[in-house]
Amino acid sequence: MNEASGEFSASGGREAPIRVELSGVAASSGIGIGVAFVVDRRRVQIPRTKIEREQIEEETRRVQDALRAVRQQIEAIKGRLPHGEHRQILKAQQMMLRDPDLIERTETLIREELRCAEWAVSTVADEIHEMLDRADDAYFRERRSDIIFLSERVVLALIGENTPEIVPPPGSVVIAHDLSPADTAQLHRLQVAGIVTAAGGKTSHSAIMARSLQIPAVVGVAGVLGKVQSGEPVVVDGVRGVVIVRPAADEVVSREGERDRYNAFEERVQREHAFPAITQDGLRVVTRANLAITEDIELGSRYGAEGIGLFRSEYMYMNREALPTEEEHYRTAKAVIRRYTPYPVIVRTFDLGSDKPSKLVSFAKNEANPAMGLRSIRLALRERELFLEQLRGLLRAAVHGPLRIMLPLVSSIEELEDGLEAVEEAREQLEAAGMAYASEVPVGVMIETPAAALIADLLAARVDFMSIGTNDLIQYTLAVDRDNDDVDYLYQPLHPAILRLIRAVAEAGARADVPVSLCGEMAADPRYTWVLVGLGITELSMSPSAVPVIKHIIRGSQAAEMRALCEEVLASNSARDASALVVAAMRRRFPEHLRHGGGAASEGDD
Amino acid sequence: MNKAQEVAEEVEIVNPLGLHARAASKLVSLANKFQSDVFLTKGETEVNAKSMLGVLMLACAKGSKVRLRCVGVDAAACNEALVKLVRAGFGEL
Repeated sequence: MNEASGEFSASGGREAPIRVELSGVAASSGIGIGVAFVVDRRRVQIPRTKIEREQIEEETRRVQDALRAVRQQIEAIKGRLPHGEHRQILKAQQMMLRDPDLIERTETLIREELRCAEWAVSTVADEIHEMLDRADDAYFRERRSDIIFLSERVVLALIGENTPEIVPPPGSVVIAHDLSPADTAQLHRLQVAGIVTAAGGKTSHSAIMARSLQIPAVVGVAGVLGKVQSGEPVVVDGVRGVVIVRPAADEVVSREGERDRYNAFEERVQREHAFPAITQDGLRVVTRANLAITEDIELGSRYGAEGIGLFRSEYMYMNREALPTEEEHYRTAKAVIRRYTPYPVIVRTFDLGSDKPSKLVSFAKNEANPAMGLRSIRLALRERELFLEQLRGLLRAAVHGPLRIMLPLVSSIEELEDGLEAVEEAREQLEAAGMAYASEVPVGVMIETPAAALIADLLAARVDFMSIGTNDLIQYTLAVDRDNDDVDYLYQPLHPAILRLIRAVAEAGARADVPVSLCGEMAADPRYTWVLVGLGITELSMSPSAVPVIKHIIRGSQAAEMRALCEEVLASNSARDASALVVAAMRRRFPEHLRHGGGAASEGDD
Repeated sequence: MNKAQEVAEEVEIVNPLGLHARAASKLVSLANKFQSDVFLTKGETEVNAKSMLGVLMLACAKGSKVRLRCVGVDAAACNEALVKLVRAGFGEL
């Protein structure tokens, strides 16, 4: 916003290779030092052609397809993120793409003015932009950029191009006029050192995203684009809201020291990522990674995961034009197995539903209650051909290494038997076709409903492993939709009911000698490590970046003290008491882990 | 068959951030649960309260007075639910 006085002349500073200090809004804490990567996103060329009357239908359909495609793009980005505010923002954007006024106005322009789809969409976006422009309140004016970003994505989808991704080299400081929430989410994966934007304030969506993804960021730095070129050194001080372009050499050194202290802890934990997670008294805990096809397959091994504890196969059905074939399931699974052998890869069969849709599968329209509707294993059993297609691919891939098949949302023995029967049928089909397949593929279930947890002993007698999906287990047990702002305060992982269910499943598994793992977001949260291991869970699967911190905690602990805390926690009457106990204990022992640990931990206490 | 009714009421936006994106998404989601058409008026501008963009375009800051108008068979219930949400500050107070 303001330049420090005397260090920079008003004009012509462009050529002067001198230090410039710019101030802006500290949007996301942390210190980033790196080489500038200036994003020069040229505006999309919008085709403006008139259509013939006969094309009205087709243009209208193209708009609908494009809106859906962009909704799915955002869904895919959303799915890769940890839970938090950034997901709400992407959700609001999806709602805009479903907006009845927007669709109606666009269709009117196509029908009455015979404008092509791209032209109609961008006209509507301009109209909305203009209206928001007149708002007195800064917040609403900031929403203009959301509209522009969305309409650009839609136009690109119409033209048949993907939104060009911003791909800075790792360690860059990204300098842009503004970044869409979707862009920011992508940068998270690319390990940029920091973000500086000319536009935006503390409430801009990219600021919120950066914060929740822990990328140092300063926003609202007016004119930054004219003052820095790609390749120049930049310091982003997201603690104080300062950006230093072309810093002096000694300043870089002192800033680096500061950054390094901040990062030292993180690095130490990372360095030890490959050491096994064994407690000081000898309990071995297996830590695996959750992975989807949309993510980098290497992620898990980079962070020291011992295999894939949850491969989210449903992403193979999203954002695309044709269903995945048996061959594709085979090739995908084989690629993951190849990467992780000798560690296992646990593939969850497609977990789709009307709340997690694929345009390739027909869903019941307007389910009043999607979470309790036709989804996961229920959908798989009904769309049996689709299910068999996937199972055949997986059974074939298992020839190449230790693949395991996991059935989601199983809530009864009948459902499990139907699922196992489908696996058997897939095997027979392969046999009849003379294809090579693995005959001994472990099949397990996810424990995601209270019903499944309560009959864990019955399920354990018929499966090779069980995996607790805490996100859904908490939702169904406490009857709380955590994406609903009115009730999300009730989403309490340490609710006594949840703790009892997890313990019951762990005990049922131990009695039947069936391994029990846990693959919800709880597994990635350093606050819960002691409780979970104390409850008897010795396999945790989590977002890859959380693996090193969780392993580090386990190596610094004794199983005996975890169990002792767990006993205390189990004796508490409420989630509030349990949470106070757990947070106090973990803060005392692992303050840095809690501060630097997985994104979930930074979002406040339960 | 039930007759379509019209119920209208003036409400004040009381939450600190005004009708921003998340509050607007709550309002729109709730409005969409009813059959009635729902309109929101501020000054001279009336928008469809089932439209996220419409609601955002009203740019209601804290303290704005808006008129909520529900037209349809479930207008009374719809009006009641929405007024309650607005008065409760969208759960943000």
